[in-house]
Amino acid sequence: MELERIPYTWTRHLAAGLKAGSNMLVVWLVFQAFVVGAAPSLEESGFYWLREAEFFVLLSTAAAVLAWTSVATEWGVRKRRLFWRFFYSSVAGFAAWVFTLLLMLIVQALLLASGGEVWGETLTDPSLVSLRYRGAFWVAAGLGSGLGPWMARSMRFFQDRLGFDDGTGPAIKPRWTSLVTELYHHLMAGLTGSLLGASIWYACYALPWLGSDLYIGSALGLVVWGVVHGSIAWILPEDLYGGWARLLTGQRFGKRIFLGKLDGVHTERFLGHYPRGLDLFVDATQGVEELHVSMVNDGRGRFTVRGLSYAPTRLRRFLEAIDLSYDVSRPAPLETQLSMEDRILVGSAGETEFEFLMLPLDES
Amino acid sequence: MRAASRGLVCFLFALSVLGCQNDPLSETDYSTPVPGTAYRISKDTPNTDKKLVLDVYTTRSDCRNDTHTEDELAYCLPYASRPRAETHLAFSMRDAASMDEVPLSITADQLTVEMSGQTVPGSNYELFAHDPVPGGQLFVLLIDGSGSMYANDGARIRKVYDALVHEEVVRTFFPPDEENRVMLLRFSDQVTGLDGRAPIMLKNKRQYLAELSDHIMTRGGGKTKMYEAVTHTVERVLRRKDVKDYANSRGTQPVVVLLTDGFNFESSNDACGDNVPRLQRAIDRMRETRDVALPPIINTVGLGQATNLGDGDLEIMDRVSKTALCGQYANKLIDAPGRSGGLEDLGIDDASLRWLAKEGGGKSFVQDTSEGLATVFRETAALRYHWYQLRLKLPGSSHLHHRQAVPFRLFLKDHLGAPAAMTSLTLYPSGWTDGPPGDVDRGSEENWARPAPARRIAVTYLLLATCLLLLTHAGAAAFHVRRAWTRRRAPRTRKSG
Repeated sequence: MELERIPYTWTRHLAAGLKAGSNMLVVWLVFQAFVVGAAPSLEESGFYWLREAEFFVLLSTAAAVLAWTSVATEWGVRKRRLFWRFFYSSVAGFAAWVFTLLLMLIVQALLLASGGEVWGETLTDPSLVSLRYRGAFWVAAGLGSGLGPWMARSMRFFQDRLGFDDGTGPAIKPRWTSLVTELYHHLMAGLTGSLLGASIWYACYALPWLGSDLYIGSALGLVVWGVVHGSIAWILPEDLYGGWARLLTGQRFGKRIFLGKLDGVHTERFLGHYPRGLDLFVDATQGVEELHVSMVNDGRGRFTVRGLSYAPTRLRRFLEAIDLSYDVSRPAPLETQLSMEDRILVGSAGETEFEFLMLPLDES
Repeated sequence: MRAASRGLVCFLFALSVLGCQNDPLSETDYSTPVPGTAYRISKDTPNTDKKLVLDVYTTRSDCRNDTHTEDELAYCLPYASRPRAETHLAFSMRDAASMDEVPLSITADQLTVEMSGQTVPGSNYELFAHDPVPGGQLFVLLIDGSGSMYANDGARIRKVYDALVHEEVVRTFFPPDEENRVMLLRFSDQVTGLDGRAPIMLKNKRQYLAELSDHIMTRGGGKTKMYEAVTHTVERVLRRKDVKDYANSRGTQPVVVLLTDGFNFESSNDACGDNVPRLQRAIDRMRETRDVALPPIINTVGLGQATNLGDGDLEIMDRVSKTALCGQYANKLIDAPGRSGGLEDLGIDDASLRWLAKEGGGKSFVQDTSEGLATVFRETAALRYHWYQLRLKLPGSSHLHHRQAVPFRLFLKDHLGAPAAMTSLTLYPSGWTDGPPGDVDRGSEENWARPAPARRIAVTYLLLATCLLLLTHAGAAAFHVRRAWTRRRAPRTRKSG
């Protein structure tokens, strides 16, 4: 997944989820190829799972792939070294696989212990399709798929402490509270995703108007699990993007300046016709005063624009216009928060116009 | 601690990958994947206490021995589709002692299918025969030679003649490049060849047509001892050395076709009720002779109109009664010369014919035209097949939402409706997925699914993956299109000079 292809719009929240969904679809494809296509040949060679193990194999593999995808996606867009990408993704995948199998075995043991003999027979029937009897296994797989990536992400700090450099600088020492919060997010992501996936899987089977088969049901169940888990466990964070101001008029059309990223450092950039020391010079003939507008980055994801001149300064966005011209009756310049694609018009006739953009950091 | 943790890891790994292979020693739960589906199927467990064994093909290697082409292999392999609630099973019949294949002519009526202990209605399944046995059939035509057949200037026997020399009937009896045998028998007081001598096996079309044209129109006479004719044919003619040798050498099941235009009639004062003990005696004798691996199939054909005298369901009756055979006409004379109202004037004793066909494992027909007779002859000369495919469509309520393994039992009924062979097996649907739904030819009359090819899975994947891909890029595409649409163009620079 290339960050350059994901603009700073609401769709970026879905990008990781859709990627996870796509990978889960590959899991489905591989399993279909195994179960429907290659099974007779595999069975002849003895390299095929027992009927009783099918559900375990599928869910643990799906959880492992999901965990692998989540970490690989993050490490990929952060442009980490290939070795570390592979290492952490594998750690996440393996951990998810082990956790899922363990949890599923525990669930099975608990269910068998709590139910009677008849229930036990029903429960252990590998042909059974039932949310009542299989829901707990999906939950176990969901929790496993959340635990794996959480473990890998938490480990980075220890890697840093052990002196292995992955080229991204020192890791911030995690606090217990943030670790617990992250764990909660991951578990909820896995739980929500797997339960929704299980519901879709079962609905496709049980509802005649959805086809009453598990062919599409299994595919959709896994995809939904992947999309939901991917969208909740780790979404593209703000710190991958930076703010930019870009001129849309005059001789310097297309000129843009970087307003800083979300690294906690407060910065302010200025626009005017003062020939020296300003960040964005625009000719005075374009209606720009010597020091006209400034754009502030508070370092925590909030960009604002300030009108510093008596001369007309307006911000325009969809269904909204804000006058930012300096008002002598006020102690401080007028300012407003910037959103993606806000346009600022400078000069009485709006001779100079520039826009605010959020672009991937790779653009800087 | 270390050993324990290592053991745990090994166990988990083995569970998921290596240790999940089937244990060939656990025969009780042995199941093998059904190709093209997500089902598994158990080995079938046929009964071995009968002379015949119903052997279901469950694996590719089972099929490879008995099929010759890839197409045949596809029909031979089991198939199950949950969304279509459909199951296909192929089977062959084998000799219980040697396990050699025994080609038979089987109809769906002879088969009983039980699923999860419930009998599947006959309308829910069809039987498709595969791989016919070329040649080697023996047809015995037992034609009524009583006077009534030659009445009205031989109108009835001419219909029989026209039917027997019909081009398609001749081709059915003597297909090109195949060696069948036909015996033409005439019965009245006794059973003889058409020429009045001992019957012979006709080897080719020329002999057959010559025998018919030379002798069938020769006027016969006497009574109509049809019951005796059948038992005589079964007990004597078919046990004659040359006939028996031929049937055994080809492994064939002789097909007897009894054709009559009236009632069993042995003395002039016979009433319908008099035939009851005679028919029962004939049936008892037939039953005694049928305890062999390849008993003859006895079909009966009535020429004329059915009288429909008998009452009751023959299928569930074991012994002949007056009501079953004659209804309210038990005391009515069969032939009343000089007096009107003899039963033969009403038509044919179709009840007797149905009894005989039932006991002989065949079918009973009533026809009044030569074309109809020709059709019957063609149908009775059924081919034997090496193997059959059973296609079942199961009630949605029981199968579609059946959540657990589905046990099947197949019975092949003998001439008395009792099991001649039986087998049982179990289908295990996957608890996680299904294979792609089967294809159905919309235009064809057969509303059966064919296993979907593997590319169906690829197409499904590509469709879903495309949707995800479009969704992934839809946001970016919409953003860039909007930006391009509303973009501000760069101002033109004025050229100097």
